[in-house]
Amino acid sequence: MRRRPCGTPGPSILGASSLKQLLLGLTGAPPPGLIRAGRLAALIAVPAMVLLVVSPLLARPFTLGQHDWDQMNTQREVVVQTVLRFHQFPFWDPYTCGGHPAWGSLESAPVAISPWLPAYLLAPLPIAIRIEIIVSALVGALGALRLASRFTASRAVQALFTVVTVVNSRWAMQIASGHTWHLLYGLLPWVLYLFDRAIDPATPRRSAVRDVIAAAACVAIMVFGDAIYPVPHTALLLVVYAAVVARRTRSLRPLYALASLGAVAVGLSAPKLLPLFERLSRFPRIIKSDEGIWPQYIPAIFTWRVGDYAASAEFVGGSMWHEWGLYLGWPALVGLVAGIAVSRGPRERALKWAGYLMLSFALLGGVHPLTPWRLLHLLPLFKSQHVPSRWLYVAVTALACCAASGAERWLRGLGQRRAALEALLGLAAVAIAIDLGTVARESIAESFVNPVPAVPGAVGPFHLVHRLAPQPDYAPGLWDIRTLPGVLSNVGTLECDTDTGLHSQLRDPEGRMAGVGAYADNDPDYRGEAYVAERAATATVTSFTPNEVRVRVDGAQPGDHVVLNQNWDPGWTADGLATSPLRDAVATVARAPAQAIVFRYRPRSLGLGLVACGLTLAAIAVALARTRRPRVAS
Amino acid sequence: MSPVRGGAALAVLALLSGLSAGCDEPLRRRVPPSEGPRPSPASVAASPRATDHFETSGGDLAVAPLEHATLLLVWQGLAIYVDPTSPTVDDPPMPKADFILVTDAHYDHLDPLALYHLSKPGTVVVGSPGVAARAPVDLSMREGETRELARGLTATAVPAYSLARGAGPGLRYHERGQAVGYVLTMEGRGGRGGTRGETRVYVSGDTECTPEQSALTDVDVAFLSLNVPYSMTAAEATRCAAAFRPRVVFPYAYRHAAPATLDRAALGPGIDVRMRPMYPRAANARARAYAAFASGMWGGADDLLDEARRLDPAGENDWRVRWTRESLEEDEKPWPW
Repeated sequence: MRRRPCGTPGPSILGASSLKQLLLGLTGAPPPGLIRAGRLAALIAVPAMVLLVVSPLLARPFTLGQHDWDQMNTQREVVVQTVLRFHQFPFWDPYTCGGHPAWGSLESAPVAISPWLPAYLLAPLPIAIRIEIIVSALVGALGALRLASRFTASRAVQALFTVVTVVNSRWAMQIASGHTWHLLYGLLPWVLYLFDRAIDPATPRRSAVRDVIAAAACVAIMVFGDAIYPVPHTALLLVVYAAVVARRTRSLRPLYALASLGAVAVGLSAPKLLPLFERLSRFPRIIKSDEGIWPQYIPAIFTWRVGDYAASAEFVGGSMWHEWGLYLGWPALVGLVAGIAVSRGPRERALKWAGYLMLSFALLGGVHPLTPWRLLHLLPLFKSQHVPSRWLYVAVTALACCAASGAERWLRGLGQRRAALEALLGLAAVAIAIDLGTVARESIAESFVNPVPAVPGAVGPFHLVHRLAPQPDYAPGLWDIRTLPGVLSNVGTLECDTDTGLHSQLRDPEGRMAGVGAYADNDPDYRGEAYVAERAATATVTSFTPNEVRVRVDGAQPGDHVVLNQNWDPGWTADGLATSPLRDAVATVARAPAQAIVFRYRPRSLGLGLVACGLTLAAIAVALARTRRPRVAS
Repeated sequence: MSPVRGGAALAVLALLSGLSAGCDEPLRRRVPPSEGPRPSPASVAASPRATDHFETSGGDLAVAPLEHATLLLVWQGLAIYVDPTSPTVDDPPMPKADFILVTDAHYDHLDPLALYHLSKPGTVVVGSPGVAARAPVDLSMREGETRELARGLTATAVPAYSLARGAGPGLRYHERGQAVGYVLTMEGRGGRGGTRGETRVYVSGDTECTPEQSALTDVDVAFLSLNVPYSMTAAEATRCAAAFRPRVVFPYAYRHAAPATLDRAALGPGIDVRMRPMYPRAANARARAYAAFASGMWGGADDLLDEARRLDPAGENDWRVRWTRESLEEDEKPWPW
């Protein structure tokens, strides 16, 4: 083999032998190897980042998360146990707070109607959780790539867009802290992509109809998945986007598309939405929100290389870092700002409006009654939300669309040099993916350390306790209240943290949790899982399932109140008749000294919701049939 | 330099610039209070948490009323808890326990989490039969039983039960035999006026004024539960204390009662009634709420007031709470437009 003389440039896989030649490529024809490397980098950046961020989940496949994860696991396990143990649909959750609607609460049965249900029914809980997290991340990444393709043809820029907007440190820290509704943001780029395509004048009408329906279906999946923040955020983003584009293009098409999308989404999700509104009418979720941050710390939100979801600092107030941090690093941040500055066009203008508005919610916060967020917070839907820094994730997505468009505009002006610049952007995408992924990974690794709680061999009859006894090997983190071991062992807990209206912190002047009529068996007022209020008669639970409880009463007098030791809800009936609340517990009137009573729970507005959903599906079928491509006669 | 190296250099540059962008001020990892370091019993005894001190022949007896039914007694360096609950003993962290006495199995007296957090090797958990049925205890004490816990320290179980009140017809909140109060006897020279070598501390637990309680003798310090309707009203406590005449009476567990209505005149001379704040976390939350309100953090102020109400409902009558709540409600009214 002939040796290369010292001092002469050698061959390279990129086809360019020196940095000088590379730089020359920027002004002339780029070396083909560089193009190949750049394309490869753009291709691997996104999957590599997703893999890097979720790698702790794969390294420890049988652990559970900390912080809020106990509640999230409980919500999922309630669905699993109700289906597998009792063969019922999860309408009622008897395990937390003394009983509350599982179907129709803001955060209760997020996987009952979802693509993840088979995984939860078939696989162990930690595995199913991993499937939900990882596939959600991939769905989000694919959606982001598709969305970016609406603004740039460059694969490298698409990869950069996805790396910055999907599984960044905010996503990872929110997942690490158990805010599983954040997973539903994975559908946000899909909704925006489909909507953007639908309002594009170049899109044929039949395709636009399909896009609107698909976008509405995504929103409905968000509703069924209890996406308490992604749904309002997506709705506002679409409203601003459609309104500004309609104004700039002097077209009503965006507004028609928006109205159609909204109607179909509401119709499809009506079986969940109507019971939810029914519940909220009883227990409105109104949260004050005056969180804020000192302006000098705003750059730190994007540039601190900290992935510790539970970290705190004085400047972030009471919230932990997972509510503030969204690490982009200086290169990505500068690129983002530059891209936004370069971008032009009606869609870009609309996204800037939406992005800046959301950025103002997130960064100005609610420190003053006249900040944008505090004004928005006066509206009913947004009155239920707090932590305005959660808008940051959506704001970055909207603004990154502008940046992608700006990058495309810049690249178009480069002529022959575009290929070389794209290749470098591809390499930059990998570098940024590694940087962002390394930070994001930290919180996932930190959180998923809990083993699955031990379950007793034999599960006893259902009963309520105030709190479960601690298990040394199951310490879900900051909160004392644990409910997952209870669901696994058929024991309900009275103290709870999340359900609308029922919360350990909310007490009436008597010290009772507001709305809680059930008593724990270590409560002085406890009289059994069923009892007769007026006398010492016998009331025995003969069969207990979440949605149906059979009680045998002996020794009562007609007119006595037979009480089921669960919180009252209008959906409870006794032998088909409406029940009434007795000190917030489910009560009915005894009709005979000895009788069997069947207490049954169904959300009252479920039927109406199913009818609305059915009508919507029929309308969708008609719309799709009318937009089918006519067959060409052979 | 080859183009590979050029690309790599660019990537490293991007990475380094990202790495160097970190802020100098590190974030602090938030450690749950229950997992943090705990002070020694002596330091609590020397702190303002210990509201009262009694001279015993065995040394100083420090009394720290923590919250509701939770008490901490520090004697000879021993941390003796009565009915500890979480997060009362966790935030701020209190010392690990040498002895934990649990009076009954109800949730405001028996908290397995607090037992878990306070336990260390050698901790002795003492409970009534009702407690022993629900949680692992080292020593189950029946009514009338006396056991030596440590050298110079004995505990006697006094019946604690409901005479009339209950959750429904034919029921009693506390059935006989399930719950007990404790008389702790601290042996030594001196004691009550120097006539005996012991100091006797009685913790009633949730009980009505029972004959056994009225028949107690030589009690120096008595903690009487005013946890209505589950224990005594102030009038019943007055009658009971007048019967067994302790030297000092502390009303405690008075969440829904007005301890100030304990009738000092009816008790007669020689009985010192000492009112102590049994809900310090509520007072602390209210102080933070006023500060938050003053600095414009109105949501935080509202949350803190709610937390304080949960801990101490009776404190809602304070004019500062009423004024702050009214101001916050004013802020929440819909805008005219």
